[in-house]
Amino acid sequence: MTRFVLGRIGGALFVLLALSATVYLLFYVAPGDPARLACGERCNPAQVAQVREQLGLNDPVVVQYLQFLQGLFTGRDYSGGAGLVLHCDAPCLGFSYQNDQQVTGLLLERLPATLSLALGALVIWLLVGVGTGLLSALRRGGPTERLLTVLTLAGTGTPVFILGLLLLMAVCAYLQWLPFPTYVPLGEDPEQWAWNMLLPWITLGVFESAKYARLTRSSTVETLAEDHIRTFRAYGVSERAIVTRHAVRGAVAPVIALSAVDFGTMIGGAVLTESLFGIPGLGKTLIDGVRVVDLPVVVGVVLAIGTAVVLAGAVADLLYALADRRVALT
Amino acid sequence: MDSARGGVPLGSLGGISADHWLGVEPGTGRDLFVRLLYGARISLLVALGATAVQILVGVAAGLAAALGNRFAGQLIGRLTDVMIALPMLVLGIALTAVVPADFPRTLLLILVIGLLSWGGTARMVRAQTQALQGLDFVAAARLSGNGTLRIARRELLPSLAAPVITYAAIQVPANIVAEASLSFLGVGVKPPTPSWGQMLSSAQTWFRADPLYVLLPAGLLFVTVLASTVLGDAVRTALDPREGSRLRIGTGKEAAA
Repeated sequence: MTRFVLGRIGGALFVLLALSATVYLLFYVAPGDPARLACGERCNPAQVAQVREQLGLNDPVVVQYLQFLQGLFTGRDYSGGAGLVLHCDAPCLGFSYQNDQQVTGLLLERLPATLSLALGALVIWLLVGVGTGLLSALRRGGPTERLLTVLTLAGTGTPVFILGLLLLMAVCAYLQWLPFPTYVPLGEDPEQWAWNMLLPWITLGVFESAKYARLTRSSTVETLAEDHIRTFRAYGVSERAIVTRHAVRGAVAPVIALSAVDFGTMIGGAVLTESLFGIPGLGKTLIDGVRVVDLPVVVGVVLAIGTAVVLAGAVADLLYALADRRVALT
Repeated sequence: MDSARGGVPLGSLGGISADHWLGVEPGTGRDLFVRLLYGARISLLVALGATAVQILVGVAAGLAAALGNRFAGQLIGRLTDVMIALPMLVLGIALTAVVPADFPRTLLLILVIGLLSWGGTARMVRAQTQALQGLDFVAAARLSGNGTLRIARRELLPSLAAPVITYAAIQVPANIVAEASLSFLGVGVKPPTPSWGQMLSSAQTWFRADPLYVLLPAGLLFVTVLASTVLGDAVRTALDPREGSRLRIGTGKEAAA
């Protein structure tokens, strides 16, 4: 067990290190002039030179990267010129000159919006996805199953923003049941927060459900072929009880594992939903950062998202092993 | 075009007429039918191009991982894991930020999508190659004194064709979605070049005034993705290694190219 956990953590750390090095090289070293980009378009050459000095861009690449890593773990100082020192606490991801804010702080500010989106979607896909999967496992071979199969096939392929756009159009523009969503922080007004998040939750949750329905159905059906199910049948347990109480256990482990991965991806990967509904989360921060070419923000978001994804993958492996003891921790 | 109302198309259903079969685009007055057709060209070109790139890189990496020495195998295997774990969309968005603006966008999209999603192909090719290496005909080729490269070309690649083609066919719809997503987010092809994702993005402001402007690209995207998903599934059934007698590589190649 300990060996397994240590191995996973080691692997995750390796991936993160590789990711940070790649992203760093790609964004700070390869193209264009980072100093000019960081400084913005209105800077004159003297200011650009000053920013270049502050960012340490005159040092060799390796030194720069090591300083970046040092910033991540222990924090670092930027000399702001004229005796001014900008201190950046660990974990320091750099300074966004265009937002006039430290990237770490900016990301922490945006995290709650992303988390509230991902949590709501998680609840919906667990309910709808697993429910649908169970129903189609129960009605094997019937017209219900065929209908559900077609729906899930259509659902897995369609881009999430089509569903979101159609929902927005129907619910907000035509039926006018809800106003167009604007994000209200949970701390400000929980009721408004929930109403405004309703459509994003449904969009993302239902979109993800298709995958879970397929997974639940196939794992349940797989379990149905096992010996202990045959014994239950021989004892005269009803088909309904067999599927919903016994066979579904086969689906628990994979659903939990995939949920952990998806939740991690969603922390950063719900870019489409966030940008469609204007939720100021990490994904939206990334898109905004790209629009104004704010490289420190882009690098910061990519690293944060990569971390979330890698951590989620490791957590998923652990949960899988805990939920299904047959998967010996190897 | 009704300029008093901010460019809403005149006439019913977004201005459908004999001149403009599906009406015109609100705001600009461009013919919607033509833009949808050109959008299809971008979507399909990018999706197929990206699939080709990702299959090429994936097969090369997978073969190298399986045939190379232990160190190379480890390194490429790790790299593959990283590529699979990373969210493609996020990195794609980030990459478009650093590429110079005058780089051709269509090519950029093909490269970004292709180079970020070869992990699955590489992993599959590696596993298949390792399985093949234990088979007699590969051993026979090695015993007759053939080099690794020759074995890869003469013995392994033909046997890998069926699974790789299947994988490619399944990747096409995923790549169509990837292109639409990037364009929807405004980092894909630049206007006035049309793409379905980009049209949907600009249609957001015309919900009430011109519902067709939303529904047409959305419907086309939906149908195209669904159709290529079904096609991919058919290719898989046709080329399933367990049903060797139904191996029809000819049809599969057309589907995957």
